[in-house]
Amino acid sequence: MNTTKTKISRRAFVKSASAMIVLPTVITSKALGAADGTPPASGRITLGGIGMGGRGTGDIRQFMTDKRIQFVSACDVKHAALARWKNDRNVDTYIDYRELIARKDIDMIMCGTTDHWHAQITIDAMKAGKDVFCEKPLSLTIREGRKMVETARAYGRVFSCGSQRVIGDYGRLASAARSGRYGKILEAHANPGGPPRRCYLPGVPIPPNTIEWDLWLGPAPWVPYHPYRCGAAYGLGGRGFRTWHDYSGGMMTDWGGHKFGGAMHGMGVDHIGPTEIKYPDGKEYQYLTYIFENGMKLVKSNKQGYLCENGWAQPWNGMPVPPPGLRWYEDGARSPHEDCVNCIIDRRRPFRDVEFAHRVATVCHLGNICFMLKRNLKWSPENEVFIGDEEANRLIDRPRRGPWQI
Amino acid sequence: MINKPIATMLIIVSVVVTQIAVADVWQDIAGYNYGDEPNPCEQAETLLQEIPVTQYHSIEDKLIAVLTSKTSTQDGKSIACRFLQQIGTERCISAVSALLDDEILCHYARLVLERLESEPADKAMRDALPNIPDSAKIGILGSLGARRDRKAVDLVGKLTISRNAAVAAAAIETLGKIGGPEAAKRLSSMKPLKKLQPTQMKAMVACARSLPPADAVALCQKVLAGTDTPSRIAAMRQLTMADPTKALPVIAEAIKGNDAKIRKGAITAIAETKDRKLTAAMIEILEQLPRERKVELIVALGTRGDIEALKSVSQYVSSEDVAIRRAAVKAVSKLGDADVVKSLLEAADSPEMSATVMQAIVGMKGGQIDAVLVDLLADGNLKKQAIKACVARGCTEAVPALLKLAQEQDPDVRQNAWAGLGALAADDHIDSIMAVVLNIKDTVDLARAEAAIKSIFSRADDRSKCFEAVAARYPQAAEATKAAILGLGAAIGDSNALKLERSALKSPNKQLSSAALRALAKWPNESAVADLLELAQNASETVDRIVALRGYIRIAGLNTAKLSDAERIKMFRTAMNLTTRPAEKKQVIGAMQNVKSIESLKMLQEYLDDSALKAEAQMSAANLLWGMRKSHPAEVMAIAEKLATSKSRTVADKAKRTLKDLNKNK
Repeated sequence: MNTTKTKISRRAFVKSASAMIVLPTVITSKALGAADGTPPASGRITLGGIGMGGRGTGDIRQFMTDKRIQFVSACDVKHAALARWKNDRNVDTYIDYRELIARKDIDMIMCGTTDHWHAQITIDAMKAGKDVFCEKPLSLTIREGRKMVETARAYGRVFSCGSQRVIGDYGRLASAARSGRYGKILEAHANPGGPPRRCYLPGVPIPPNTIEWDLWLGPAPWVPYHPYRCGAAYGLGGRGFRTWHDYSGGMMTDWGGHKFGGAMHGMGVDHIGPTEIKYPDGKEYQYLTYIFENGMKLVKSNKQGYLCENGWAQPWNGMPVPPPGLRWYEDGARSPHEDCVNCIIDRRRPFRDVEFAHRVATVCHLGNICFMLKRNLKWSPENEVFIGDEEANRLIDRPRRGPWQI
Repeated sequence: MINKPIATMLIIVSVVVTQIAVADVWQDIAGYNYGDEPNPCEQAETLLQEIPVTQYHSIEDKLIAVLTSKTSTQDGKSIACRFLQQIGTERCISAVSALLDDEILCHYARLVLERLESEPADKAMRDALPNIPDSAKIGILGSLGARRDRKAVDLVGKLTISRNAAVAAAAIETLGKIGGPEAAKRLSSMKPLKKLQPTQMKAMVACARSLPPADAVALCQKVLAGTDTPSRIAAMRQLTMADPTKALPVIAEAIKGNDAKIRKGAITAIAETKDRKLTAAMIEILEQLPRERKVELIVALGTRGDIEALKSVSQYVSSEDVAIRRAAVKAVSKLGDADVVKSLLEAADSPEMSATVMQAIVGMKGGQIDAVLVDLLADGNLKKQAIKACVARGCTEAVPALLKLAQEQDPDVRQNAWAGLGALAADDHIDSIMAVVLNIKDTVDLARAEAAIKSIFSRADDRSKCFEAVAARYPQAAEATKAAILGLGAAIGDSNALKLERSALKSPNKQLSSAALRALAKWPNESAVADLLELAQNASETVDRIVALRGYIRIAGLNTAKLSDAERIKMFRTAMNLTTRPAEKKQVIGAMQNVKSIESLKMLQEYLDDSALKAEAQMSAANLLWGMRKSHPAEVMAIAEKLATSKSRTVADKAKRTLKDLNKNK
């Protein structure tokens, strides 16, 4: 049998031994826990952040207000996004997320990257035994979302999507609609915004020490670098990644996570999906309209609200929030972040569990596909396929580049 | 009107022109490079949306021509593939497959082949696999896995021993995705390098999902014997689905064991697996577990939702250990129905536990929960907790019982009852509430009742009607209650309320006239202005004049009062002339910053050097500067220059900021 021994020279031994003698053992009081409810270091959930732009950093800051969380590492392919953490001695920084998720001491990751990375990173993280908080929109394609659900279930991971507005902004509206005061909900209206478009920007040289371009592209098709492809500018103005079909579902998925998410929550259909998607023909359907099996409609119009049997639902002072039967954060959580941490501790599914987030993201993707094909579509929410439309079915997923398979 | 031959001609011309345009666009794609203008690709996208599906074949031919042309650019070919992904058929497979050995275009070719429901597409990828560069191999392996191409198992199996570790890993993963008995056999028999063993384990778990239960069990047990923790957790969960009986000892061992990650995996499996035998098994080991693990398992049994666990978990609701008790409360609230409500309320014996219990009760489902809570309002020891629970659940059925509690001996109960009424009662309860209010002797209780009624007003659909019901009791009420009713008038501010206040002002009873005056001083709109001015000028007592003047000044600065800027300024001047006291003058100056007009600023200017008032005047003026710098730059500049030298740093900073902006836009 071939065995190897690690040889330590006398000089090396003396050096390391003296270092052990000289360095005092410093254990901070915080590490042992504190009277303010901070658990000892060993009892905290260690968090790694992947995608440390504006939104990702915001999420991390919010997690850091929770005494049960210890933020330990940050990762981003854009060098500037990591710069702010470089001098923090408690935080290790990485460019390649695979190094971060390989760490066995990290319990949970926050994924705040561009949309086209969400599935890959979160699936890899869950397969590495991490729980996940992922920013919305959940996915770039419908099939990606289903894979995320399957992985969370198979690996027993807690997965919360990050749409704080579903309850924060639209929870009262949903409560009014579900209060019974207005009768049965007939339609929900929401306007998340438009779909993305294909990008034809020319290639330009990559400024040194700014971005790892191939790693930024990841599963997306290889194209030359242009700063507006990967920019963070918001909206569909052509200066940020959300404009482009390869990396995002546009405003439809970005705000759809919030607005369609809020509407579907109130309608009680965020665990299923529509059966028909009507392209706005300017006649019977003025707006993109989703029809659910129970007859309820979700309309992409210019307002956010619920049309019920007795008119448009309006919140009122003293209204029970939430009314009985409306899903909500449990255990007094006030945000998806707090809810996620509670659920990681209790090992249960959060309010924005991956299945709900996937169903909402699916509705957004269905809208984008409908706009792309400019025709009515029939959808099977059970099997997650279009009925009798092969062209549409090809758009349920996109082949992924090289090693980035899920 | 156009005659028939001309119309026919126009149609022919338009069709020809369209076809030429179409032909040009697709041809232009062949020579396209990113950034080229005009951009044929955008035109092609639009055309594709307009063309009927039946005509796709002609577009496909043109796109195939782009792929096969020797002069086409890489960008052009990649764009052609993107279109073919949407409309391509078996006819394009040959042209697309030719791109599979290209490092960049391989992926674009897969955009088409992976999404094309066709055996020839599978075959094209299988045929290409042995002969292409490793980087392209990894992508094709991904596609074969996504398509679950069982015919590829042999081919993929050979690559699991590739010297290129990335290719070997991709091949192992692909076998797991393809699934089936052949893939399972290969996966369980292979002996990969140590660094690839976790990949092998994950592939086996994935493969197990495609197998009949007996085969899946064998594969899962092999993974469980391994060392990769996430895979072992996944195998444990897979095992619970394939054969729950075989999973039981595995989960039990994990729960008792020392590996925290495996234990948490088991806890999640317990929470999410529906097999009932698991509940019985977990109940059996619950008692033996140490504290921390007991907490985890109790919570999981609650999340699991199997009522069989209720009896066992319920006993921990009275545990002396707070962590165990909290876990039990959460679990019992999920497992139980109305029958457990009482025991939950009994557990709320400290502020911390009370919060946990309320959260748990809020989340309870079932029609009888509220009814039980209402019954518990009569329970001697649980009244206070029951009130809190009713409020937390928004249980309006509790209102009649709360009215009774509001008359109880125990002041704590009365306090909670009034708070509950404030939160839960509605417009139609006002009559019965007032019937109780009339009998209140305790001034503290009266204040609580007043607060509760104000809270009901704040959410009432028709506040005036609400106040009518309150005012109807005025004649029968005792003096103190009348004073309270007068105070409520200020929460409404309508004409009926004002009438009541005016009549009370004339009352010889000092308590009532004083209550009316104070109500007017808090009036929410401009309708009380004349009354307040009259009182400020002519009330017999100094105190009353001051109260009235303060109310008058308050309304002059009130945003919701329907007063013009000129009227407000006039009121400020009147108030200034009516008083010599610095306190009221300062109140005027403070209120003036709410009136964003140049007159307001000019009036403030008069006090900038007044030794008693200059601090307040400077601050109010400074707050007005920024908003008026564009409409009145000259006046603002003059005042800003003066304020820039203020001793108050805040004032000086605001003035300097305004000056900077004015100078910039000069």
